[in-house]
Amino acid sequence: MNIWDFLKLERNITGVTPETVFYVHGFPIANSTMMIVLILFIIIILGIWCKKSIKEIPGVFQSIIEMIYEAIHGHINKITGSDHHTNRVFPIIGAVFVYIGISNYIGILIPGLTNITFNGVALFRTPTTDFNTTLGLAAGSILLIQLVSIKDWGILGHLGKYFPVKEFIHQVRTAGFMGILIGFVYMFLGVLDIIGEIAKIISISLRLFGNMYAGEVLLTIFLGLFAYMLPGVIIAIGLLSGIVQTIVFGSLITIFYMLAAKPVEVELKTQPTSG
Amino acid sequence: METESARLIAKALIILSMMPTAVAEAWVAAKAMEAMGRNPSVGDAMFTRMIVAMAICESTAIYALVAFFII
Repeated sequence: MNIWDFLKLERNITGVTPETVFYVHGFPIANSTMMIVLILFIIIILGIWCKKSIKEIPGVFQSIIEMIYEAIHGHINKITGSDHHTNRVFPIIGAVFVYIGISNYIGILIPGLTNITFNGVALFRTPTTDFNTTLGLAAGSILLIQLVSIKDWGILGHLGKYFPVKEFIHQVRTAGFMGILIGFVYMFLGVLDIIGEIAKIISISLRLFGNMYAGEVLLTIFLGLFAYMLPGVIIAIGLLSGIVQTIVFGSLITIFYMLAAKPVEVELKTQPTSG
Repeated sequence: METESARLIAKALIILSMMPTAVAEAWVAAKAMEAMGRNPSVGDAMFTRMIVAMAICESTAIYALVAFFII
């Protein structure tokens, strides 16, 4: 019982893989899954409460929700630049924004939630510190963008982006023998785009996972060093990087959507002549 | 060579690879400050875009950090 027991708080560094809390018919439930269930519960309760208490002149709670809605809507509108695309993609990208935002902050803002243990294992863990969550979000979003591309361009048009046969035939027709070589270069660039899609999934999932997991590990290390004012620095970095990473994730998904979707034609509105 | 010392050398090399990230982010910030000085009315939009650009520059260092924790 020396002085350092009062000045430090030593914990084991949480591992990369999540720990299982209990089993349901042989299926393991991890502690990040428990936190995801809690977050979904909170979002559903908030949604039902908003629906019931919606008024013409908003109170404080409704004003906050409207501010968040307008902020996300304006941000997506600045990237897409057209109302048609924003309305098409806003339900799912807005949901991604809110889900990642809440799950980045719930560990920091509710004190003591991640310290509850069950059978010696922490019961709740921030879900974005688990690579499974971020990989699922990234793979699901990129799959959705592929489906949107198939819907807009058709299956042959979509495959024509990765195997540009039309470009090959055009080059052969205009340039003769050199056209075959140039056509092969275009085919190679098209096939390389398939690897680009996999790189997109890996990059956005690793970015979110790395930021959150590194923040948690640094917090554990700093608490083991001196527990009184020093970890405040890491918590401040965690607060900033939580909001920045949600904005970056959502913006990148919107940019990938804009690269894959069919552009909308601009209609020129003619002014009616005054008679 | 023992495994433990090879692992420590690998960790040192991974941390050393994060050096150009600092230069890249400082360059982004410097160019953003210059543009904000020339045209102060775009200040707010420029700041948000600078933060997003810094987060994307950071991403290579984050991949290295993940590799550091796995090794």
